[in-house]
Amino acid sequence: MNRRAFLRLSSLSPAMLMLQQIPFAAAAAQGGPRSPRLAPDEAQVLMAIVERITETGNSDAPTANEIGTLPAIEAILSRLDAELVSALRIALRVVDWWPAFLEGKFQRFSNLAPEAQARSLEGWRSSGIEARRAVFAALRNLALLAYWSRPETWPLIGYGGPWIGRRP
Amino acid sequence: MIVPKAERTGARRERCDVCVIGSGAGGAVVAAELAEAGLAVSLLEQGGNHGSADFDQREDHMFPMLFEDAGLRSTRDGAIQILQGRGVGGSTVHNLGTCLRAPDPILETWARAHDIRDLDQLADSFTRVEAGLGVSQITREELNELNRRVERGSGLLGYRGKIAMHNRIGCVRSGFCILGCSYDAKQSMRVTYVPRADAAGARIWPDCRAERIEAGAGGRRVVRASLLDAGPEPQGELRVEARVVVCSAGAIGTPLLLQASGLGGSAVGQNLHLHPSVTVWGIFPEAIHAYYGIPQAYYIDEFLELERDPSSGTLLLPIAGFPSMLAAQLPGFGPELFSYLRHFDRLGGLLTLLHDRSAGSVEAGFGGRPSIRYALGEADRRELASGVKHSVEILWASGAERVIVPYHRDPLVLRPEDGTSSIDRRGLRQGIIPLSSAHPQGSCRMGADPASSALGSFGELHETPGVFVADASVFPTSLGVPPQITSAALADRSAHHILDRWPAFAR
Repeated sequence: MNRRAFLRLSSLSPAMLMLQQIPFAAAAAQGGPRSPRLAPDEAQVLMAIVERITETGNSDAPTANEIGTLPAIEAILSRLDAELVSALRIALRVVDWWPAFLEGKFQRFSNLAPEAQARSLEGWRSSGIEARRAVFAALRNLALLAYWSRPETWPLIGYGGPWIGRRP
Repeated sequence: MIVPKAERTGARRERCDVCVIGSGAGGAVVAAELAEAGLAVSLLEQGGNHGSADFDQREDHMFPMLFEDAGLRSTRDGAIQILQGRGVGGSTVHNLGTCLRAPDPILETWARAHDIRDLDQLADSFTRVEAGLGVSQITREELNELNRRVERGSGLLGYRGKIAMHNRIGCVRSGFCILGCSYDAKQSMRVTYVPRADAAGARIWPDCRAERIEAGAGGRRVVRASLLDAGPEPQGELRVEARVVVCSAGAIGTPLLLQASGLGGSAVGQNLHLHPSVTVWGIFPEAIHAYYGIPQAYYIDEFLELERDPSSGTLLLPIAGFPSMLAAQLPGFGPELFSYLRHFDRLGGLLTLLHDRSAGSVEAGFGGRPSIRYALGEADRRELASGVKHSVEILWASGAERVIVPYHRDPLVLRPEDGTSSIDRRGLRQGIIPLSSAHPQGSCRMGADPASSALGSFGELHETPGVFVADASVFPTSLGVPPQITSAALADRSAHHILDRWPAFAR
């Protein structure tokens, strides 16, 4: 999301402008996921998004948290431009506070029940606002890359994995 | 030589005859041709220098290594995912090795409508680059299960198609081409022209991002670059003084560099074509493991009737994907997405590649990052929808029981008895279905008129002698077919033009 898009997004509500000033309190996520590139709250929001995007409805499927998806995302982020990571962090902040300010939930995304989180994400996916759809598309692709690249997920879909050292 | 890592820190300077920025299908050819002719060449590459031993066939490892923004780049509305290469060899390291020359009607349009001179020289360039890349005919025996079925299905419907040419030698048919060839069978620039440039004495700087081009003393140009040392943060600076600069950073990177340098005028960054593509997915009754074997060995060009209309049409190409790539092209998220993905080993895709008339733009956005605008026009939307309908019919004829048309909301899962009229009713618009692009092009186009083009007939900036562009940016229109061979041939032609004029540049 570039700055113009973010400002457009922000201009939807004075509350959103206030939101930009709210620092993420690291202490608020004691015991939450740890990430060297994201603040604990940011990592918590991101992993909630990843869980919703990658959940399968299959009880045998490992969750994103169980298979170390966050370190995989960290490795991806370490190769990205700092500006892109900054944009991601802003986007996570906006996604987290969106339900509280604009969906009348009086709760942040990260505190919602999974079903409500999924409905909130659906709002981003189908939004009439270009910047919201762009944020969703980026988060979706990042989540899918990090989760379905993990070998633990491959048996769920019958993927045999890399060919290195073997032939199918 | 590949400049050793120990030398890629601090403040570095060098002088050369030609500085080439980017080592993909355009830049590698220019660097090799000029170095072999005896010129001193510096070749700067933003990404790393990776070898086949690094290519472990894992998506989470390879996407950050081989693709700009780890494959997460998109248009500013998020509607079109844009896959572009990064690293020595550029997009030729991850492409699918499909080798098609620019169609004659396209070249005739370029000559007639855009006044591109001496395009007849391109025949020699095509011959040279095809030899340099080991281009050969794929045999029928080499088709994988999906390609074999699609050939049969399109034949049953009477649609024209061909088994493709490719640039692989000693292919083991693993199918992991898009994640980098672990066997050095794909004859990417990384294993062909870059080693030739290296052997001829070019100095190759990986992890080196050109920031701007400035005027230097005595008519020389100065390229200022950041030394990245395999990470996003600069570890040093490089200043290259050259008589000629060739920008080959791709159709997104090249216009950004020229804009940052104040070069090229208002046409730079305009006229961006993307070959936007939609993939529909056939669900076959049994596992076809479409992701193994040569991924794109057959194509259907029935609907690319360029003699009739050189400005529109669609090319249909079989495609498969590894788990996360394929998931990204399927609709929805959560359990809905998984309801499609669980058929993974039974899925085979047919990609509708649009020869687009729509044109977008690229400019620097937040933090200097690319801001890519693109909107599909009405005629292109109709053309794309028509191509998608044909793709659905071909997959049915190929044996698919159902075909997923991946609208984000209420995707269609069509059986043959359903027909394709629902696609007509829904239409295809940007933002309602996953679109992707692996072929950005045209953003610094050649032409006779400086008001509507950035470059002359041989890729030199209209108003800045000695600064050239050699990549897919130079195409005056959309090409309509995978651009690797045409980019390389035009770069070869520009390199020989530079050599012909070298006495003037060397003065």
